[in-house]
Amino acid sequence: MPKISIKNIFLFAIAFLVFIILLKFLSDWSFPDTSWPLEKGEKVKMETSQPLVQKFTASRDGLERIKVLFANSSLGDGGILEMKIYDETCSQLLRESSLKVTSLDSGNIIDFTFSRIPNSKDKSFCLNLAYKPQKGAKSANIFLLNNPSPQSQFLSLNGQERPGQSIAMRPAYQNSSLWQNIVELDRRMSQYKPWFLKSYYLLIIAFLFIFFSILSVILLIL
Amino acid sequence: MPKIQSLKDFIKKPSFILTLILLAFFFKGVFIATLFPIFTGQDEARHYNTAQFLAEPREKSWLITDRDIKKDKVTIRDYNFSEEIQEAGVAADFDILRHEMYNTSLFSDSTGYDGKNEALINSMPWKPYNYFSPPDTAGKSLYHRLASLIEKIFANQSILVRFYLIRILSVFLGTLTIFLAYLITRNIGFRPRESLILAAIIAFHPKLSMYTTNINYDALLIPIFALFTLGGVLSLKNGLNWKNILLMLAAIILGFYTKGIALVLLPVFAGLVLFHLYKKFGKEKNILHYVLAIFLLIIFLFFSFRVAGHSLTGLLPFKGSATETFSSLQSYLSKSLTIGRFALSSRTYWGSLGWEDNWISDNFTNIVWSIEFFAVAGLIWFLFSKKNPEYLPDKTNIIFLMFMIAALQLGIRLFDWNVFASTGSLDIGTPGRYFLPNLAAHIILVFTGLGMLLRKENYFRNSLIAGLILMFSFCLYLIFNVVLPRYYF
Repeated sequence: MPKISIKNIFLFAIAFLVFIILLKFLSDWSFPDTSWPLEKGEKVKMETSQPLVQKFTASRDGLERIKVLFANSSLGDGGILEMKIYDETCSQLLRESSLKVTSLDSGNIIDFTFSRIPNSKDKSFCLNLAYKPQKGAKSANIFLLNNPSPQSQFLSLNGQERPGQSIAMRPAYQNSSLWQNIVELDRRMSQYKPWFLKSYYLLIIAFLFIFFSILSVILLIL
Repeated sequence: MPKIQSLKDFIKKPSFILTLILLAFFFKGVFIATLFPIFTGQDEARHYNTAQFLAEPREKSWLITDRDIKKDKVTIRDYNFSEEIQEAGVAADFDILRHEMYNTSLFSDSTGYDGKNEALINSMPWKPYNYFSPPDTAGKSLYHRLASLIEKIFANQSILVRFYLIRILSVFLGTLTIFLAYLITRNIGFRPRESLILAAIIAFHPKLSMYTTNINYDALLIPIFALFTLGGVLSLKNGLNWKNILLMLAAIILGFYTKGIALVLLPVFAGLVLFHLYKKFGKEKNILHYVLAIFLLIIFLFFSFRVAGHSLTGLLPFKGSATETFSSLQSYLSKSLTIGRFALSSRTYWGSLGWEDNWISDNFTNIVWSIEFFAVAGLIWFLFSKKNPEYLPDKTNIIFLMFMIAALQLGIRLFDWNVFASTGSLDIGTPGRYFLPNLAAHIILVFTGLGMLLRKENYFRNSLIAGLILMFSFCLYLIFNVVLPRYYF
């Protein structure tokens, strides 16, 4: 059996760590629709007996996650936050996402991620959000905002309709290809930057940074 | 085949690898400078306002209104900044980014690569003048004067061009720091390969990488400390000569013109000169004229300190009676020397660790402290051991670096105590970034301690490579998994 050299172990370690970082980066990669307001509005408890229902329209294709701003909550032993995305009639389940939480601080933004919905543009969806505590009846708190935008169509919280309001949330999208995602990230990073840090210049700078960094580290290991 | 061999030899040359490290640091810095939206660096709007204030015409032909500097500021318009900073800040969503950690800029999807209000900002409708007095500035340091030069040269360009060019000036100063760090490691006694790895570890230190993209006078103070350290190391290697004295004096005087904390270099310099004199004339009785020369030199340097606009009495907290001073010190120490405050300093020394609530944020400094615990044990052994490994620097260099660390620690805490004595609260504190000027010294000490424990050169080199891999990965993690998602996802 050939002996594995320490250099190869180091090369494997760096490849592994870079891979993990890249994986996390790709899993975070989404473009929230910033036309949705995201503020600390009216703080309201979510009753555990009835899920929150928010109907909204997607502004583009590739709906991939919903970011929700939670308020400071006393969760006791914690519980499960569960989001379900239905079609506009609120009858056909399209996607669901759940995550375990043990604490929620004021200003905690939580990403509910699901597999990409390719043809989401101009379609209405029915978002169903529920908190299932593990023990006791502690509830999660959420922020409500006045949102006259036509994208926010209907909100029902604790069995009560809230006309003209929405929860503090943002739908987020992904493009159909990695290159389109890179171009969109480049566009966002370019905003409010001078010409020499925009567009292709920025892509070249990013490439040179990564190229020289990895090359220098590898040469130092070898 | 010979061509491939010569290529292999070329890419393994220290000068080639050093160039790669410097290029990596520079382009990383420019990328990070772009990553952080306008004014979001540490006190960046204030430092940029200082540059703008210094670039203002001498004849103030505009109406200036008296307005006290507010303590509780809600928006950027509450600061006594120039009209251009206030309005460009509002237009570029600075208030959202500053006060709403969970929020991003309100991106425009319809205007392509330009922000919603970018055309307005680029039309330069606002004057880069301070309409309020006193202006909210951070002194008149050398860094601000350099920045104000850029401000003047590119006065007909948009604030975005001027602001980001000054950020790139900081990146250039950071790159200079890495070059000086390499020279320090090379001259202190490490072998070329180890010196390069140490320089690379420093180059991938995330906080240094991020702080030297900010508009802030510390971006100049950091290479100045590195320059002084290099001068000190060269003096210990070659003996005191005009070259290394000039390096140290240049660093001290440039430091005085940059930030008052550079005063801490003075006692280290005096100590170093006394050490050299003792080594040379310790056994002779008549060294009076040398002591006199040092005394005159220190007087000259204190005079430079005054000329640079600093006041020693203003920096020191000895304002009342001895009892009051002692009581103030006691109160300051009880409030500042706590585990929580040390942890905060440590977290902010390494990078944006408070931005995410996860395992890495919670445990990173504990891991670093564990490594440092072993490094300290190794250093103690190193100091008391009669025979140390050849691949490590000698004791005098290590003691010199320890004095550098101690002097800056003392200086920062003295300054913090001074503010505490006046306000009764820890308004300044000891954020980790204040300790970055000694980063090269810190990293060298840590790995010297570990190298002492490991005892074998190949183990030592492997510990350096492991450190490099961890620092590189941590830097990439903070850039791509923490900062980038915070501002753009």
